[in-house]
Amino acid sequence: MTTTLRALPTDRFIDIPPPLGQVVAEYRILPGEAIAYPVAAGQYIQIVDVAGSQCSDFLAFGGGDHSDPLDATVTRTLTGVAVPQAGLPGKAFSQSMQPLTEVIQDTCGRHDSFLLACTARYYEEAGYPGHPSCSDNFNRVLAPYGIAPRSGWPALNFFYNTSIDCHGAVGFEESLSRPGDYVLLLAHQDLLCASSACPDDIDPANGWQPTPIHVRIYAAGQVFGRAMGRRVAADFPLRLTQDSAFTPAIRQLTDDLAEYNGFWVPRSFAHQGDQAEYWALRQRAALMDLSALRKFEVQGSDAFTLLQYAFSRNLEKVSPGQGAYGCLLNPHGGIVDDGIVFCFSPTHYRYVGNCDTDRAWLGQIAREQGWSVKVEVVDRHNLAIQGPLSRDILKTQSPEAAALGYFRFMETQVQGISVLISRTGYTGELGYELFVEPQNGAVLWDLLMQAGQPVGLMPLGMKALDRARIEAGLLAMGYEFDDLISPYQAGIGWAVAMKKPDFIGKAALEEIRRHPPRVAVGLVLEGPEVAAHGQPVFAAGQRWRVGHITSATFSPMLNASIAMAQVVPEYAEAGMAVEVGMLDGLKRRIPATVGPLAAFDPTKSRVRV
Amino acid sequence: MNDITIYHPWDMAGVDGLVAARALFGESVDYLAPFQSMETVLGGEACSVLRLCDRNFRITYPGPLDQILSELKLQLWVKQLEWMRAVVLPVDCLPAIAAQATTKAPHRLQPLPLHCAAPAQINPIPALLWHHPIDNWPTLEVHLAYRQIAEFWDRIQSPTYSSVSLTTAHT
Repeated sequence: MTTTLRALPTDRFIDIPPPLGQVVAEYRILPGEAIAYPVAAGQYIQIVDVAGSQCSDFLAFGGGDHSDPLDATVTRTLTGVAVPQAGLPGKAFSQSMQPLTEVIQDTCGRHDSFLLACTARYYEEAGYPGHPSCSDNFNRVLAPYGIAPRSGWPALNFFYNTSIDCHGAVGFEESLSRPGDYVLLLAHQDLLCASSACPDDIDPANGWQPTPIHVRIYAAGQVFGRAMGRRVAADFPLRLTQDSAFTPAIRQLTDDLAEYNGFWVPRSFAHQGDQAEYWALRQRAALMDLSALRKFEVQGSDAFTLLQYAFSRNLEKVSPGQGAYGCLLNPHGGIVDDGIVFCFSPTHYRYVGNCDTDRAWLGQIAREQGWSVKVEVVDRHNLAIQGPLSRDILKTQSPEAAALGYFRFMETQVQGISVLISRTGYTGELGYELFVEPQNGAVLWDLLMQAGQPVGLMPLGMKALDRARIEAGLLAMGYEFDDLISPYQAGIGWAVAMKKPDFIGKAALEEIRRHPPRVAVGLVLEGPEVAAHGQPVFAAGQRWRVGHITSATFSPMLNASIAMAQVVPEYAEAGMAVEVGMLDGLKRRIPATVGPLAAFDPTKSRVRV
Repeated sequence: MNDITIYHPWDMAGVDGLVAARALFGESVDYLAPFQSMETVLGGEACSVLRLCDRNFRITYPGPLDQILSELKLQLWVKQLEWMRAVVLPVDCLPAIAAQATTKAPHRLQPLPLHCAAPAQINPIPALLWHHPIDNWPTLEVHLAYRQIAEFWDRIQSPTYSSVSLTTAHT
């Protein structure tokens, strides 16, 4: 029986998030059922998991007579991702390689495109002959449109949590979606769509309990920002990808943006490319948006005490107007985050790091210790202007800031805009970071781009930035460290002030530093082939591993393939010969030589100039 | 169709693709991103170098590039692709072609600056559009399957392109 389609009044549904825009049709798919529905080009389809943990398989048919169905294999091949995701690889394609839909928003982030919509065969083999299936439901609702039935429909299976393990086995588990999670799709042509509320109650796919799916169709002509949902902690709200204050200007210069730490960031710029951006950075100057960093104000009579306890550096040595790079630690000596503490006064600091959870962590410590200090998010977006000519450019806008010493900062005005300028960066070059209130970001971007234009300043994307930071031996979260890796393993043991009377993780780090399980080194590989994160490092000529690659790139400056690696201390001495296992680690080994973590300018002469 | 002198570029790719390009053209190739190009001289002959990937290059060169590279004993292949040719058009037809073409982000055809290339579908012919100078004159070079040159030729003879006159890269 075909589910009756009716446009339902949206205010009937209080069990789902409110509409995102003007709704033209709305359908509630009961548990275990499916519907077919028309969507016009330019309209949006929102598929909402009402109660959470519920899969919704999706079909779309383009072409004049519904003859061109969505094809997951074509889609994977053309997008290069397992499932379309908001941003450049967002489109789902038909058999004839025409775009049918595009993911605009996705709050779940885990879906399936490999398996069929569930079939009668699946249930039969599990001992449930006659069990309803998504494929049979689709056959029934598509029949009135003249679409021939199939034993199993290849579909985009939203909220279906599948994975492929290292043995090639396809597995599935309970959906990651929470109540109200949704995907928002843009229709690129007139479509016939079908969606299900999967009837599978015999395994964890729907949490053993099928629940409803809700579909809303939004009118064409509306604009919804592209966004992915990120969940960073169980007790933190969903965070949608956002633009920084500089992103509108950046979008004028490139379409190549990717999600990074909750922000849309440029990967490279059109007709420019990461090579040109890299060389602009190393030879002239480059401008980059680092707004994805998190900024926290730490204020109160115990601000110093809190950070002296939680942060690895000795803040007694950090005076007002000065900053220090270090890390937040956990009790077993793992790195919670790395970042910079800026000192305004002993009762006022600003911590700039990577994690939304830093505030909660610092707040928890303060509460447990009974310290009087507030940790609050401060809404600043920041640009970095880096490169040997960055000082000359900044001088045209703020002569006093251009005179800042290394790791010094000041609050000043640039063309009437309040800016905090610090002599810091993430490139291994002389450079500055400028923190502004978001409403002033666009003006600051234009000012710096114009000021730098005469000397060849270029905007710089993440691809070039990654190349530069690896050359400079600078750490990236998730690559060089996480909360199980100590500063001694990550290569920033120098940033731990062990002489402080007490700090979080001190006892553990005293043990670890005597013989860390691995230590960070730089490698220079023979030949041009570039290694990859996770590849094994072997003792030369031996079967056994001595470490692994954490980051790698080709260094144009050094004309060499380089890598950051973490190896056992016995193989960390400069000049030692090791081998990097390429591909599967067995097919080809490339000789490499151990050296400083920063392959380029290890003495940091360029940043201190 | 008979008026077209077909131009046949060289392609090279392999583990040592960048090593070979650097050996032939110097360190300037390090400054090229994929789909960017440079003009240079090799063995006294003008040539254009288009980087297609980290280690893949397309080169306009009238001499035996494969023989030159064979002496370097590097891990790469060098050949003139049997199935592909290049057609050279005056650059002023770029706006009209770009208006008819689609390209996949992040590539952009409007504009397509000098020394840049972009893959595109010129309804429905797949092509690589390359804006670069030949003999110091900005030119639009179109790389496409040999079997589709006639179809492409027909299209550029349509009213939209009525002002286009074909030339060749090397006469």
